[in-house]
Amino acid sequence: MTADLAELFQSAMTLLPALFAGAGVGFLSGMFGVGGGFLIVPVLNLALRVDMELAVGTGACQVLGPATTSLLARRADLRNTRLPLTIAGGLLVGVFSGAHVLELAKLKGTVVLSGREIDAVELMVLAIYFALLLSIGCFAFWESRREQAGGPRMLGRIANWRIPPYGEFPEFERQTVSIVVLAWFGLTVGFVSGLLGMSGGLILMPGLIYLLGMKTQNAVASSLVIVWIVSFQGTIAHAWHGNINLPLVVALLIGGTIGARIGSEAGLKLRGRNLRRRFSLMLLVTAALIGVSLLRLLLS
Amino acid sequence: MLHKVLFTLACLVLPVIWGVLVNWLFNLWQGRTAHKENDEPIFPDYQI
Repeated sequence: MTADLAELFQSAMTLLPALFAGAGVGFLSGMFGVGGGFLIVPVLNLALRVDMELAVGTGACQVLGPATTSLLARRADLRNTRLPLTIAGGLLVGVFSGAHVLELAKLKGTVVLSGREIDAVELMVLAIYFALLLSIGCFAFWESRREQAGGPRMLGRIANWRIPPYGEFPEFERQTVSIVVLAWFGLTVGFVSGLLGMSGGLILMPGLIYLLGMKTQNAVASSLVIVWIVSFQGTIAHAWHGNINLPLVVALLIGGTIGARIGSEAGLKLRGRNLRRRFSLMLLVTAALIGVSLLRLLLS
Repeated sequence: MLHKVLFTLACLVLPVIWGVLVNWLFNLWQGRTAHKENDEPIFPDYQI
């Protein structure tokens, strides 16, 4: 009985840091109005020293909770499912391919760089996170500056690609869009999400608005459905490979819910451009921290 | 194989139940039901 209690206490103490990490990520997500899946994996791996493949799988599974809450709270209707269902095939192939590449890297074990043996999964995931957060952070910073200066917005670059067949999508600025382009877009979002264990919102929103020229309100509504589909598929793919730690998922869900509530209250005090600039700085700081860890990994 | 299928189902069901529960609790807390049709959804500011 005493041994059981001691074991229970020990497990609780192991999960306590995850609870606080979840609360921290939830706070930032609530404050900036983003999913936060892109923060969970680096935090689990770098701060809590969780194995990278487990951090990716656990992050992908955890995102399904907030994605379900958002979908129910915002009550996305049938009109918002046309685009997500059109790209669902691309998302499916992308998510499973991303999870498969992660599994291949896991099987490879280590790679040798300059005579040093480095964990292949850790190196690959950290390097991609670093490049992704750095480029999106720079873009978000540039966008906040452009908006301040009142410069023109460049929208819908890839929506202009004319590759048949086409579909009618009233939610886009240009209403006739190539289905091939949309499928490729879904494939890319799915692949990155499956590989990095995030819901994909970080690349989905800039992609829908700036590359495909979707109206912001419609992009938010469609992304809720797409993020849910990606999280669902990602959870299946990573669970199948045994890369999910369920007690850790529970700790992150509890901490994340509390943190998001407090963060959304804090976010109300920082509306508009100020918030956008802080968001871009948060991305750049996270990229810098990952960059330092990457250097340590390469030089250790 | 069966263990894999059950584990995958558990991974799918747990976060979804959590999401539904949190949504239900917030509805309860805000004193409204999820079926009110005149409630316009409020979207968060888009950051990028």
